[in-house]
Amino acid sequence: MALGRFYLLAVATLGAYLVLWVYRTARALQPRREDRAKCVAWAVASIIAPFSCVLLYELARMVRAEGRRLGVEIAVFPLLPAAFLGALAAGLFFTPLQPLWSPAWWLVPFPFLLVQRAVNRLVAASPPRHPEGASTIRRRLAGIVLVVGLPGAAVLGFVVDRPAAAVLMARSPLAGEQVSGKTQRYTLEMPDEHWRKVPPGTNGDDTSDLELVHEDGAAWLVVYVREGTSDTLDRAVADRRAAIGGDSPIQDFYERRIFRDKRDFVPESIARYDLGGFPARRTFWALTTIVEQSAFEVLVYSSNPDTNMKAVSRLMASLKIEPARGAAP
Amino acid sequence: MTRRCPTAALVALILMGMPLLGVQAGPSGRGRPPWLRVDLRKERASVVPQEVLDPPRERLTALEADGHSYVEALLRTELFINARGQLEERRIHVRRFLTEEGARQAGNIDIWVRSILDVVTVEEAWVALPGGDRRRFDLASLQVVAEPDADVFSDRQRVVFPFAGLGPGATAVLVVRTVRDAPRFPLPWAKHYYPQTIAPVERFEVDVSWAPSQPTPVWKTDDPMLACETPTPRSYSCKRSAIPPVASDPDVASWLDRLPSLVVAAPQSWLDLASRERALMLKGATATPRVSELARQLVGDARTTRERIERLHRYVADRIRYVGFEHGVGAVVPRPADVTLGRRLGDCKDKVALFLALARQAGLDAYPVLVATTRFEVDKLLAPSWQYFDHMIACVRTDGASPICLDLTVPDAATGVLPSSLPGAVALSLDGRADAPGVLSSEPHSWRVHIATRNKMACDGSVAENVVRRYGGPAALALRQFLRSHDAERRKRWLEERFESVMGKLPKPRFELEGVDRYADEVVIRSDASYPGRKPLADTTELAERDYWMLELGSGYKTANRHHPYELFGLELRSVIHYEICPAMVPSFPGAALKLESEFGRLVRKYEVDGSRVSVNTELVLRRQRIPTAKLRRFNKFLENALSQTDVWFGLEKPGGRRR
Repeated sequence: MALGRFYLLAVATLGAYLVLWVYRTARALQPRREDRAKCVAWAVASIIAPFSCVLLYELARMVRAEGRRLGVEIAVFPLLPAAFLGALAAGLFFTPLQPLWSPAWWLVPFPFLLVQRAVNRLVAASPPRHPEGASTIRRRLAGIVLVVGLPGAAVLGFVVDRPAAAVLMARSPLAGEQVSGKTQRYTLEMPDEHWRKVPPGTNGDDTSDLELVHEDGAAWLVVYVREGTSDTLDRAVADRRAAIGGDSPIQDFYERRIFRDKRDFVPESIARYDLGGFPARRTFWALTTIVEQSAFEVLVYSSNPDTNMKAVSRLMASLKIEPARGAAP
Repeated sequence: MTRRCPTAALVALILMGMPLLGVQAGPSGRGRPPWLRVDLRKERASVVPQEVLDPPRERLTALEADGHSYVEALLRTELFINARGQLEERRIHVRRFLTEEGARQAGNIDIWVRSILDVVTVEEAWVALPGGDRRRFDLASLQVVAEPDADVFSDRQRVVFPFAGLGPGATAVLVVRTVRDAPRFPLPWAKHYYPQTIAPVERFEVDVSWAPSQPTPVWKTDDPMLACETPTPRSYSCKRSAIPPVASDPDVASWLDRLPSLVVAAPQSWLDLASRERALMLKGATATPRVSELARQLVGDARTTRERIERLHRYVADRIRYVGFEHGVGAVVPRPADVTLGRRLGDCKDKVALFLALARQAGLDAYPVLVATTRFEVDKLLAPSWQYFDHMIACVRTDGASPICLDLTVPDAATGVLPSSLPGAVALSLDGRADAPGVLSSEPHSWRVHIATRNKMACDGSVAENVVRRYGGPAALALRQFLRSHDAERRKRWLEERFESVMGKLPKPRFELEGVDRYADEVVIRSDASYPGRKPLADTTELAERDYWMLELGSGYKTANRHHPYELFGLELRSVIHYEICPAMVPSFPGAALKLESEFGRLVRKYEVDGSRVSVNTELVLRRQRIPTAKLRRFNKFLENALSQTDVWFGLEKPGGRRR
């Protein structure tokens, strides 16, 4: 198969073609009936990156061995595609690109191309095995997949990766920097440089005033400001509790209230909602306070509460509310 | 209620626009008492300056525009200490009426007289009418009124001048001359003058002079606006003009602490004053065989000092009725202990004298303490003067511990617990050691209230409620006395009305009272009530309700003061609400733990969930303190914001069901 076509098929099928390719290549190289199950296992294992590396190495090695058996020296160094894939996987996983899916779809086929090139040479050196008709059907099927799959992959990538891309492209405030939202009614001091300011609506609803996302994607923060409210603190807390409990069962709830401002004795509620669930505990923290008929709520979510707890506490504790315009200082 | 010696009327006197204390007496007229003379010959050449009678029109307009209905145009006192040591005092009082309302409110001018010591001569009493005419005071309308307190009898007389023909633009003039025979009084003389009253004062003047044979009187003032000078070696003069009225506030513990004053007194030290009063008390506390026998009987087999104190305290406080005979020197000299014992009645110092006599026989080290029940700031006692004090209590030294003090005029008080008005009050110990006044020691909380509520919540949603309210601390004495003054029916009605005012319209509970009709540390009010449910408990996911008693008692401590400090007498309020929930449901999540703290006190709450029970423990503590004017709003805000968080909430769920 032409390398270009191979690449486009891999992209158009979001990588699924690579699983099929592993099976077909392995099967072609091991035509014995009793090896069929092994080939299926290889295909399944190819989904997991470390196994994929091993498989690429093994396939390259088998292609070179088959070439030698046919008396053809196929120039492929088996370790190269495996190393290439390993480096690529590490690069995607341990860099800011990690939350994105598209780079994987577009880059992962390249190590496979190295093996496919060797396969192509082997095929060229081998006598033809398939009737022309079957090849034509496959080609037409592949054409359909390309026509449908490529735009689909592009659209899906855009949709799926948009939030993460927004995070990646968002500004990362410096540690100690004061950040504020649309209303400019408050500030939060950033505890470290691992948070990014993202547009309203990213995790909260469209009325959110400020949104931050932790770069590990495991935590986010949304600030809501409701001006001109007649709510009590009890009401605001009850509403949030109902909203969180409405989405998933609350396993545990703890709330305490203190005066956030010893000068004006403004009560502040700090509530923690543990949602439990698999694979990890998920936690919401909500800091709520009402100042001069303006309700401020800092809502933080974390799927890794034990790790994020310290930073979250610092973030919430740093909330400073500015007097409303026209109010006495 | 603390029963006080009669000088407490001083407060009323000042606030009624009588800043000049002291009057005198003379030969009788038609139906007038012999100490009250009238000599109106001097009216023709009035001592009132013409400019006082004709103030600038724009000034009067400005005063009226400020909302004043009358003005003290002149308050002038001329005090002369004559060669015999008598106090000759001429008081000139000129009051200008700006509106009809002013005439209605202040058309009478009063003077207070100690009829045994004073001779009063009315020198001028007339009204300057708007047209320029004068209208003489009708002597037939002159009124002499005795002290109104039902249990206190004295020679203190209120002489009232109801001026006729008053209206806007009229001016009432009263000039009286009083001669007080100060040497007849056992304590050194002192005069207290207050430049500020409830009405504006245009001119305030005090001139003091003395005969060459008399020692130079001391004078002190804390009024920075009062201009004083010494025009001659034997006189001085103080003046102030355009004095605004004292700002009104509802929660002022002591107006005397708030008003600036001028004190003129015979030269004396606090130690001299204490020694002389102590000598008077010890003379009265002489034990007779009857007193000694009583002491022996009362002490009986009491082993500890405290037991002996308690037995004497119970007898003098509970079995000697409070009645004051305060005539003449009787204001400061106690009756002999044996006389008080024989009569089984007496005033504060009589009771203290009896207690001292009994205590001595019982081997106790007791001493009297003078108390100013309406003063809390020692700094306001500018110069040594007995007139600051209006009450007396007894204290007993105990080994190693602080003295135990007793207000013997209050029956059924726990030994060592003073009524709520006394802790923190200015006092002068007559123990032979104290050389300056101090303040009575005080507990941090005048009220100690513990409210335990048990709510049994049935599956149909109905609630059986049992509330036990325990009132302790000094203020509980007042509650006990209040309840004791009511019969059973009125007590029930009061309890029901109070319950309804706090809880709203609910089925009336059944009440029980403890610690009211006999001595006890606490007054206990128990109530049992049942309320129908709105819906079955199984249909509810949460319980939310108010902590009504916490809100009621706590918010009562807010102050409406704006101009003056607020004397916060302290509250320790503990509320425990237990909920016992029917088996159909169990509590899930508790409500908010509270930790709301300030420099004024704290509100703390925690929830405890144990199986089908929830306990809500709340503590509101406001410590005794004087809240300065600048912090009044802040204090109210603390209380308001803290109490707004006291609604009780917890979640409910079906047993076994895991939370949502």
